[in-house]
This record gives sequence, structure tokens and C-alpha cells, in this order.
Amino acid sequence: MASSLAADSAAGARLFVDPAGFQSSIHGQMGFTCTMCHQSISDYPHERVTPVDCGGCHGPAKDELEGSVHGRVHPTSGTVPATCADCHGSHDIRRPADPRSAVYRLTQFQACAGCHSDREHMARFGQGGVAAVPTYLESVHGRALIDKGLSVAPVCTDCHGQPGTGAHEVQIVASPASPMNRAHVIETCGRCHQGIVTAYRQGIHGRKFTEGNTDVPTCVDCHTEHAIQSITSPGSSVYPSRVAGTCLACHEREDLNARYGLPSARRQTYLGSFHGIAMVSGQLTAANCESCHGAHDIRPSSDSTSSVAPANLVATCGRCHPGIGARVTEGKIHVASVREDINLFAYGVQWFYYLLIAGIILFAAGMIALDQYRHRVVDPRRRGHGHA
Amino acid sequence: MPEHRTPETRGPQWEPYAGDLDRTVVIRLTLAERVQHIVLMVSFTVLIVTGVPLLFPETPLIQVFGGVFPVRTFLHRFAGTTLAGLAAFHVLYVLFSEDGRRDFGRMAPRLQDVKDFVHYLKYQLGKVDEPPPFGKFDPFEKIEYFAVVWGSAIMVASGFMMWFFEATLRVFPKWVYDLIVLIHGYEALLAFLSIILWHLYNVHLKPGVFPMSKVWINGQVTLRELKEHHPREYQRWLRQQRIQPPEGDGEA
Repeated sequence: MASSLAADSAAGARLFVDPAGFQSSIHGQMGFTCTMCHQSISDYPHERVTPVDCGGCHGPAKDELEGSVHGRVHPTSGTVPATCADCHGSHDIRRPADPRSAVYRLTQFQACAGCHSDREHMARFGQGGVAAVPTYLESVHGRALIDKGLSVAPVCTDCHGQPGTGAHEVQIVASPASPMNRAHVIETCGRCHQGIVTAYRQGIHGRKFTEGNTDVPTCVDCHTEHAIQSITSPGSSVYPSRVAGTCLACHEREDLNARYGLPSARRQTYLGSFHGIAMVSGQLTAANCESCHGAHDIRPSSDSTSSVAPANLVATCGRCHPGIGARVTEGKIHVASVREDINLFAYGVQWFYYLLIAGIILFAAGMIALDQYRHRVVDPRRRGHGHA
Repeated sequence: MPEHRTPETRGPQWEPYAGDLDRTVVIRLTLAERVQHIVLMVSFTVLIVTGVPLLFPETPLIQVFGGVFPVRTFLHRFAGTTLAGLAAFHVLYVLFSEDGRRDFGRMAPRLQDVKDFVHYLKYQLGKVDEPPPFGKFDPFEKIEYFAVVWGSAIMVASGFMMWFFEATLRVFPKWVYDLIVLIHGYEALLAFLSIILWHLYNVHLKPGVFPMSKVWINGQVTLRELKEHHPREYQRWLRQQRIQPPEGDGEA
């Protein structure tokens, strides 16, 4: 009524519908009239409009949304986090394939960022993180989308939505129904990276994952999530200079090494080696973990098909060091530091030099002290006896 | 001047020498020896600087190679090859040059060195007045020389085995190779500490010489220095002058 119009107007609520915007929308093009959606209106002037029920036509989408984190009433805020219109718009709704659509593939992230980059908004739903969209935009996936214009680059809903039905069924990652949940992340990444996932499933990490092991890494544990970078990017968690840190996050953990009977001192024995020193000093061609162990299909050295199985070592080392002698297998590699190898000869050499160095230091210090004594005590005394 | 009359300096005495002890200089290191010393010094320094930090991979010391590790590797191998070449030259010098043969002979360890060492200790403590009758090379210099010879042999051999480890591992098992790496590192540390503590103090930093002896540059010592630090060599020089009257600088 008039009073309601005045109140809405004073509150700045939208009172008018842009006819051109509506006419170019999918519903306008299809010749929809206002009351086809605003079904509570039957006369003019009309009462305040009630929310539109999109489900009248888009039944399955409505059901999917209501089962998702966006469509369920949030327990603490008591509100529904997102409605149809929050993502799709209202009078100017367009087909998702239309570049002007709010959920168009290449610009969809903006619709998500509308809420997910808004700290206050997210705080209402108990969410602290607002970095997902900006870090995604800097990732290899985001840059493929933005810089390269790759429409096949993954967008938010490709990973967070259900395959097939897409965006409407987004769930929190902790939910077993989320494609990003640990239980599904491998197959989700595999939707695009099938070859990698096949290799992963053959490696020790993938085999253990299939057995239900909860310690082994999935894709995101090594590659990170929204921030994922190309291996050629210095910011990548698997860039040559950073891959050791990524592997060591687990392989330097004593509890894990003990649980699986893995050798310890991984960090020390790599960083103390010529490979590790060269790498720390910026020589990126030096061997990193992946160079010898492989990446997705890493296998234990006890596996005869492993790149670090004794029988395959000459070939593996030979990739960088052609012609390396076969006797490289007769000894320990990266198990204990050269200085700490429990080996009688190494022990002997070590103590021989400890004693020799200590002896040299003591002898030199003694002779220097003696010489100082000569010059500071003996010589002045002798001069006192009449010497020049 | 106190008279130094040990049994060694007795006998046919050419003393007192008529000339000025402070103005007469004798050649202690020949030009060839000085050049060898400089090549050794430079290559040794480069080897230490480009090598020793690798022994401490977990310390900030290793950061000095940030971004230039391949340059480090090249320099280390270049200096190592230089040292190997120097060692080969030195062997030829000792075998075939008159100066080299003569000085190597004077470098040979003798029982007298033990006696000289004991004498030296007493002298340093002020128990005896006469300085020890060292020859051209005192016992410490002899030990140092042979330490350099032995150390260079170990470092050059192990260094080349590490450089060409692909071939080394065709002959030796990995665990022997590990020992070679271990030895290369400890021997380097030993050499570094010996030079810092022993050589620099005794040659350059000790009172009376500080801040630096110029012998490594001009090869010269005065007769006074020779008489005080190498009395037996001084006597030898005097005898030589008697046989061959001085024509200026003599050989010592």
C-alpha cells in the first residue's frame, strides 16, 4: 500500500524494475510476465511482495540447494546463507552460458566472492577465512581462467559442487558429501587429472589411501588447495627448492616414521648432502626428493619397481649422472649422514681426525703461548740484564 | 750481542763477519719457490672459501653461496686443478732443479731436529741463552712442509675422485666413496686450522715479525735474521763465502 511504498522508498529498497534489464534476461526473452514469478500479486496496487519460489519451475535445483550448506538454515545465525537470487540475480537472470550471467564460468568467482570475500558476512556464519577467492585467482587454476581465458580451467563449483548437478549442492569440506572431502578429493582432482590419479593410486601413498589410511597425503596435502601453483612457479609447494619442505612435513615427523618403520633424519641427510647443499644454495637442477623418488607413484625401496630399489638405482642416478658406477648400490644413501653413518671405518676416520685436529690446536696453542711467554717474560728479563 | 757458541757453531770460525749483518741479505726462497708459494696460497684460499662452508650445511655459513653455487663448484674445481698442477710442478722442481734438490735435502728430517726442538723449548722458557741451532728449515717448518705434501696428495686424490664420482663408483663401493668424502672434509678442516693457527702466527704474526714477513714476496732475509733464527745455515753461508768470496747476495 501507499504507506508500505513510502517506507520501502525511504529505506532505499528497489522499487522499480529496469525494463531493459528484464527484457534481456532469460525470463524476459521467454515472455514471462511479472506475476508468473510474483504469484502473490493479483491486483494493483499490490501488497508487499513475498519471496519468489523458483522451485515452482526449478524443482530439482531447489531441492539440491536446500540440501546444501547454502540452502539449509544455518544453526547459529538462523538464516539461510544463500538463496537463488544471491548467486543468479533476480530480474536480470541469464543462462549460465551467457557471458553476462552472474554465474558465467569465467566470472563466477565474483558471485562467490560477493559473500566469501566479505569478512563480516562470513563471520555471521562462523567462517573466518576470506582468502579462498583471492588465493584461487593467484593459483595456476585461477590464472588459467583469468590470464589464459581457459574455459576448462576449474572454477569454484567444479571442485565444490557435485559432478553433474554442479553448483547447487555445495557442502562444507568436512562433510563426507563434499567432493573436496578427504574421501573424495582424489576422484575430484582426477576428473581433470586422470593420469596423475592413476599414477597416484599405484604409488605407496595411493595404495595406502585406498586401504583407508588417514596419514597418507592426498592431492591437496602436497599441492595445497586454492593456492595451488604450477610446479614451475617458485611459489609452488612442489617447486624444486620447496618440495623437500613439503615432503618433510610428514617424513620428518618421528611419530609417523616410527609408525611405518621409515628411516629418520630425512631432512638432515638430504640437506647435508651435496644435493641438498646445492639446492639450498639455489642450484635448482640439484636433485630434490622427486628427482629420485618420483612424484605421484612414489614406491618404497623394497618394491622392485621403485626408482630407488637397489636394482634400479644405477638407472635412476644415471638420469642425471650418466655412466655412474654400479657400485653406488654398495653403501647407504640418505639413510644416515655421512658423518653419522654407523660404520667402523667412518668411525675410525672421524676419531683419527678429531684427535689430529685437537692435537694440532693444542700443540699450536701451546707453542704460541710459549712464544708469547718468551717475548713477554723472558726477553724483558734478559734485557734487564743488560742486553740491547 | 751474546756469543752463541754451541758445538754446532764451533769449529772453523768465520766470525766475526766483516760485513753489516743488517744490510747483507741472502736469498731464502728462490723466485720459483715464491711463485709456487703464491700459487699455493691463492688456490688454498679459494679452496677453503669455496669448500669449508659445505661442512656446515645447517649454519648460515652455507648462505654465502646463495644463487652462485655452480660458480662455487667451478671455482673449487679450478683451484683444485691448479693445486694438482702445482703439486706436479713441485715434484719436477724437487727432482730436476738444482735449487729444488738442494732445499729438499735440507728439508729432510734428521735426528738433530729432535734435539733442536728440545733446545728450542728450553730457549723459549729462558733456560738456555743460545738460540737453537736450526738449519735452513727448523723442525716446525719441516713438519709443515711434509704436512702440506701429504695433505695436498690426499686432497687432490680425494677431490678428483669426488669430481669424477661416476667413475669412482665403478671401482669403489659407495661406502668407500663416503669415506673419501669424509676424509676430504676433515683433512680440509685440519689444513685450514693449521694454516690459521700455526702458519700465520709463526711466519707473520709473532712478535718481531708482525704484521707480516716479506720473505714470501722478496725471498730475502738479512744475515742478522739468518744468524738468529737459522744459525747453522748462517755458518754454512759464511763457509761458502770463504770458499767463494762474496759477489753480492749469497745463497742460503
